[in-house]
Amino acid sequence: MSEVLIKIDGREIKVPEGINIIEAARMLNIEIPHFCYHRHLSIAANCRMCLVEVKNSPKLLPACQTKVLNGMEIFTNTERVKRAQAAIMEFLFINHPVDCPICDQAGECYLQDYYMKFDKTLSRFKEEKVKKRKAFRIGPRVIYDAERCILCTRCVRFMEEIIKRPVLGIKYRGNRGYITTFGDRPFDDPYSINTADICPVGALTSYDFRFKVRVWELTNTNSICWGCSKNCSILVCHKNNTVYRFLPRENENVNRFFICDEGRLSYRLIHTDRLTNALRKGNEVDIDGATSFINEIINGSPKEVSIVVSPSLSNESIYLIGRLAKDVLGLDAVYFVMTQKWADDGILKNKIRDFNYYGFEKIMKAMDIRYSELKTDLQLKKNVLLFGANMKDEYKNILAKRRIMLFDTHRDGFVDSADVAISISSIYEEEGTVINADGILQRYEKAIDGGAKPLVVYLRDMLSGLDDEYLFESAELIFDNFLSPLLGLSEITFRGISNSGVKV
Amino acid sequence: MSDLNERVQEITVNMGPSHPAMHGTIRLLITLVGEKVVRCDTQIGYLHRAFEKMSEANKWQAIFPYTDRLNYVSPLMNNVGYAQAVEKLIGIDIPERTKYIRVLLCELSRIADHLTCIAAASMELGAFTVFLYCMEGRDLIWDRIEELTGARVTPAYIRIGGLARDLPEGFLDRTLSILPRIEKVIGDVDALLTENPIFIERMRGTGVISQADAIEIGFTGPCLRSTGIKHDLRKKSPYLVYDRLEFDIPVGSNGDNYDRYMVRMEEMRQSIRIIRQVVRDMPGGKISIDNTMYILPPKEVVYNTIEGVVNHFKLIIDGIQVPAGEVYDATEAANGELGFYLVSDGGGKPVKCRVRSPSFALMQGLEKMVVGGSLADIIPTFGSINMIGGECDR
Amino acid sequence: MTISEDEVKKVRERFESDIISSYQDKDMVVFILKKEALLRFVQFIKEDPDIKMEQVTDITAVDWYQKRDVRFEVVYHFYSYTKNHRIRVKVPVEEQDPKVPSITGLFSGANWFERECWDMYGIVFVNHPDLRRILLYPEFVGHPLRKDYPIDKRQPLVKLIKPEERRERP
Repeated sequence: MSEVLIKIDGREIKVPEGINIIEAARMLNIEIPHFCYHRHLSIAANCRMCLVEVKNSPKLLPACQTKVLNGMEIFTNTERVKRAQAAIMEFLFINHPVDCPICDQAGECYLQDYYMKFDKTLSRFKEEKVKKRKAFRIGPRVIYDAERCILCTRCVRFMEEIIKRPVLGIKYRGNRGYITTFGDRPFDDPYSINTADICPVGALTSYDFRFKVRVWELTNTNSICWGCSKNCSILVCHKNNTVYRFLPRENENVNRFFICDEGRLSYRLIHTDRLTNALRKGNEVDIDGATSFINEIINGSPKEVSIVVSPSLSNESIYLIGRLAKDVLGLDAVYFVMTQKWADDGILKNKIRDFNYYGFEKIMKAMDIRYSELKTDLQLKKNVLLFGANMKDEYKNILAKRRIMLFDTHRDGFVDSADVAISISSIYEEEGTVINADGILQRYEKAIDGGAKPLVVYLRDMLSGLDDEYLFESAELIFDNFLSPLLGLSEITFRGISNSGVKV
Repeated sequence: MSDLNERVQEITVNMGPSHPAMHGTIRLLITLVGEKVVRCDTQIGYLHRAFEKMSEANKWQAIFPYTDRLNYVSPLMNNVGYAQAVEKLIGIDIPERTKYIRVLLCELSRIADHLTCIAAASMELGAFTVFLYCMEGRDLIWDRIEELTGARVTPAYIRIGGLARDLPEGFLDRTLSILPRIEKVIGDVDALLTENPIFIERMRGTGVISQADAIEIGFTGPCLRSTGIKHDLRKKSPYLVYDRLEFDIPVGSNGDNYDRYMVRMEEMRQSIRIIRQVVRDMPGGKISIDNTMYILPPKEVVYNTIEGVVNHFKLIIDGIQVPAGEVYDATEAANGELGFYLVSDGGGKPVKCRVRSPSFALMQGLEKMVVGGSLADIIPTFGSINMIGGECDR
Repeated sequence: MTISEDEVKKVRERFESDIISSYQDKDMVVFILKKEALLRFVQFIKEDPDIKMEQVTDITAVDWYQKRDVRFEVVYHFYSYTKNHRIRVKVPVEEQDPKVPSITGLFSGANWFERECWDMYGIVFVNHPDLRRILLYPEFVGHPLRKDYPIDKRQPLVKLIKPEERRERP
């Protein structure tokens, strides 16, 4: 990739050839305002907000469309540019409704931010604003407000170029134009809410998030989606230990900049049907009694315990389960249960829904433990340790006569029937790592406090007889001391894993 | 006689945080030999409400109600001091009318503060009538402030770049009309106290501090002026419109309680003089700057245009964006030099908002003023320092 | 009223290697010093007849948590009555060794200001005659104005002390 030398606002920089001026300016931390430009979409250049002055050009040029040439001199804050920016904002505001107090986009709205930075003037418009369809349920999960729309066509281009289902388009023209589907068909694409993310204003908004909370009250934490084994990078938006939404996080290696609707809405599972404390056959007991019951059995009759694992656990938990199987219970094989699969859709969704299935595979192979899927005709030992449940009905008969000791995040009929059930934290209440279907290892951070302890804490208790059990204290120690060498990542520490993950 | 002295031990008494003869929450651990004070350990902090921590968590313009509660007897002076520091950091020039109105309110607050000090100090000596007279005078001022801002003690009237609203119709006339009544109050208090032998006996020669000590410990304001140093920030580094106004700086000579009382009485008369000039010279015009990046846009614009709503919205949610830098700005508050040291990193919240309160330094000197005197002298000394708990502890 | 160019030059010449930088900030000259030179510097500005600082107006600290390499910055403001000028002195202090020499020997008025700085930030003033908490109660845990002290943190309740158990000077 050859480089060219350019000058922006008097500052020189070498940039790769062929990038546009907005990206070049970003390398110097100079912000060029834009609405219709998006790094991963085609260039539309219809908003004209990114106009900059380029030497030897009589007209202002759109920075999104203009590619850098060697020796180019660009100016982003001359009087001409400022007048152009103020003029574009004035035009955009002419028919824009006075909606800030009731608009969900407030606090993350391009119009608001650019007005305060680049406009600051009052409008000369004295007429009535054009009325269009408002708060229109364009799809089951998306609401469209035509008055707020600036017709940047980001949503149109996203559906056409990324999802390859061009269902949106502009109807009519001029100030009567609005975004719609053909014949007003419902916009229920499985990736529809991403258009609400990309929309720079409050025209397309998520129906699920509508009026719940203001965005500046939320804290964002880096994490991964637990919907399937693609492990899309997300931001968990939370306040007061409640999660309000998931947002996609940019990750070139995994999901680029968007996530599927079903994964996005899976945040609701964090707060529904959670198992709290411990149960004995469906009755609440205190956790210490429950854990000592389990520890007695493991220490008393270790040869009579089988392990069944659901691969929706972190790498650290799976490693400790492997150590439990090998070093304490003397097992050379564990069983696993898979949840139902869904179809690979060629965009993001991966057919295996257990989010760390590939991590489970890699670690079991590296630790030399055989793993096989639980079958209805297996002979399990008298006691069964179940990690993560989500048990399907067909296995219930082979488990019926065994003593079931399970650790899970959620509660259902099966959990109620277990001999002992102990609650553990979901991945949003702890930190750890996972590996996705393409072999990318990602670290997720603790977003909220759930009240339950992470599974590694209970596993550590069960492994308390081992010599190196002091290194099982936290996910970070487990990763640095055991997982990193096991997976061949000797240079990488837990805290050193980059936000885009690392290939394993 | 020497036998008597040997039998007298040191005893430590506690003038605890709540004491009927002290106003403000202060704890003094006084070590006495007989009636003579040998040591006085001043312990403050009972009214510490984390002003600095709270201001780091709030936007620049949202700190005004906290500044009200610093010196709660003359809150408008705190408002003005803080606003002036932020305006200096941003680089804003406020309109003329705003400056005159701020001077007017500062001087009214100064009179209120001095009246409170003299009232409380005298009440502890037994002169209850003086207390009631001063309260009457103070109430007249508070009525004016309530008319203007809506509250007597927590006005929060000043804004960065201007004021909350303009003066109501006839406000200046009504203010002028209370001045003769306040002068009468001052005259009555003067007649009751200034040549009263009991008052003189208790206040003269007690709580003495020398000039050199006063400067080194950090005294400013009336307490410093009572030692003979003619220093007033309104004259030495004039701010607002003080350089156009005529007034004198009263100076004491002994640094004792009586001089502090006299300095305060005369300062009140000078403040009245300043108020009369301000009312006479008050210009018309607008009361806030035009730049709506710092001041909220007018309500007709906010309710009717999208630009106004966006502007108002972003100012409230993100706060005023103050350019990165730092500033130290001091004004002459009723007790002395009230300084604000502000540090900004370019955002909507301060990195640091430090208040240099005059009472803090004055309390440092309390020990020096009472050691060697008798227990009974602590009361008038403490009263004449005019420690305001809210300002000292922040 | 700021100290004049000549005086700034005089100070810079005398304390060449100890001054990290100096600049004019609106109406005040600011010196950023190394902490080893603090006592000599303060003595100089107190005794020099052209500068003649007579009062320490304020001592405070700024916590640049995670924004700068050196975490704390102790800020002194001085004032001269005879010359009517001010000066600001800043001393960077690292987190691992938060110690600064106390200037109470030169200006006794620094006493309470340094106590407050210790109370709020945990900066130790070496050779201070009486470095204890001033605004907070003695059983308080932590230094609240540090940026990593959460604003809504609760402190453990102090148990009731019977009069006979109470020490005279806490």
